[in-house]
Amino acid sequence: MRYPVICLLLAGFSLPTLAQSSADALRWMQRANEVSRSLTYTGTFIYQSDSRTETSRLAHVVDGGRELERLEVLDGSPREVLRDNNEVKCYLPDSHLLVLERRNTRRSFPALLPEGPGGLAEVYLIRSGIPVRVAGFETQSILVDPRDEFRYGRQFWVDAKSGLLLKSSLRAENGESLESFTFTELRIGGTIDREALKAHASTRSGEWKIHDLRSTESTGDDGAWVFRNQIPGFRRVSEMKRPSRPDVPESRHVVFSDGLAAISVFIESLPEGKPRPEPGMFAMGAINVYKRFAGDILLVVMGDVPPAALKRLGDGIEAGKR
Amino acid sequence: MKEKISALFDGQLDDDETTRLFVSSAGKAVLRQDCRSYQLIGDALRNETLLDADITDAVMLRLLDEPTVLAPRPRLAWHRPTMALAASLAGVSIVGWLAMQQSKESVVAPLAQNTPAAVRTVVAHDMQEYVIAHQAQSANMQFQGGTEHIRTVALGYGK
Repeated sequence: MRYPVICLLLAGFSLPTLAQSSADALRWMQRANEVSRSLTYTGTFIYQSDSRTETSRLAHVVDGGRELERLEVLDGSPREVLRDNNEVKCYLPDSHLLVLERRNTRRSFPALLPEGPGGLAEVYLIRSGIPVRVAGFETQSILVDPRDEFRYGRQFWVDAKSGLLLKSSLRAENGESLESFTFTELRIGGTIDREALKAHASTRSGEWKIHDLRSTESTGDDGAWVFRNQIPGFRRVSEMKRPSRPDVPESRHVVFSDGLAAISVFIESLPEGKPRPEPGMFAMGAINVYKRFAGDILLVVMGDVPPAALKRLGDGIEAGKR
Repeated sequence: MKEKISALFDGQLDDDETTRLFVSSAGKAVLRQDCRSYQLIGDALRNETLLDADITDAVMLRLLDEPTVLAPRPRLAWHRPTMALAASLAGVSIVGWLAMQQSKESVVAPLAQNTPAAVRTVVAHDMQEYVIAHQAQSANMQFQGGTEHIRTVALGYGK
């Protein structure tokens, strides 16, 4: 209800400039997406989620079309994420755990067309904001407001010169910040010492476990599971099988996205003799999780969307006829 | 003062009294919370679920973006006292808005009717691998230049 009210207010005062502002904002987003994969940079950023705040260091190098990236959390336990193109390694020293995962590359960033079916502008009101200074850089801000209750609002601050995203925030419907990150220091270009891209965790000390989550098989939409409840603007972007491990049975992972937010659905049979996890709605910072059972199958529906979206999608999942 | 606020929400205050109330309530966070509570209680009693109580925050956010458009004027003919209150308080003090953002207690009982399900906050280690898989598959929707991976490891918190 409140968004239509605001839309009306805005439309009444600024209808001629809104379309222009929206097109500009979409171009800035497109540019930020492109340069995030092509620029070399290193910097420090602050991540806030709920009431927690952490400082991290990030290095990103593009060398002959190969992307290398290292993120290290500087507060508390020194967790690291290393990426070599699409191969992702997460080092969790407290639990002596190394997790391997592969990024999805089959889909590139959705077409950011202001019009047309399925476009971002159908489900979000996107506008250019005022220029703001972030970490010493002049930035262009972009306001992204949801047009319904199935997604959160976002704000982006993009470096006016390079196009790199320097700050972003995710806002709940009451305006409360759910999550934000902002660079406090950043260097774009130049050379980055290769040491800055290597894992600092020593996997030789102590017993490290390796969990390989990398999917082996893309299933496509084979009709094994049916999603009766659609969410406006969300499309199925990938569907895969994840391999089993001694204590974890094989599972299926289906991903939906509206272009900015993503919802993952994990469908897995329950391991025998293990206690059933508690069903219900859970929040982990900006990510909400909805768990329910369909017979002996556990459904885990999660994403950076309001609980209403997860419940709607999750309650409509049924086993298909084979 | 509380009677005055209550009367305002019942539409029983005239313009002069309303102006006096706004001026005297400027900068008083406790009164602002009272206002919010009365508004929520009133909405709940009238079963006005469509008039979401949180419109205050949303309107105030807009005001921060476009202050000249929605700047409150005395005696402006508002159709709803709620809108008038939201705009006036924001006009009086941005600090009040900031205080409300930080005040978790302002979420009072009637709000429950807007929440589809009870949400529990968890820092669950058994969820970490789900988050890693989720982030890896949704990485292309993002253009945060690597910072999005922080979500993956931020949950290792609390250990």
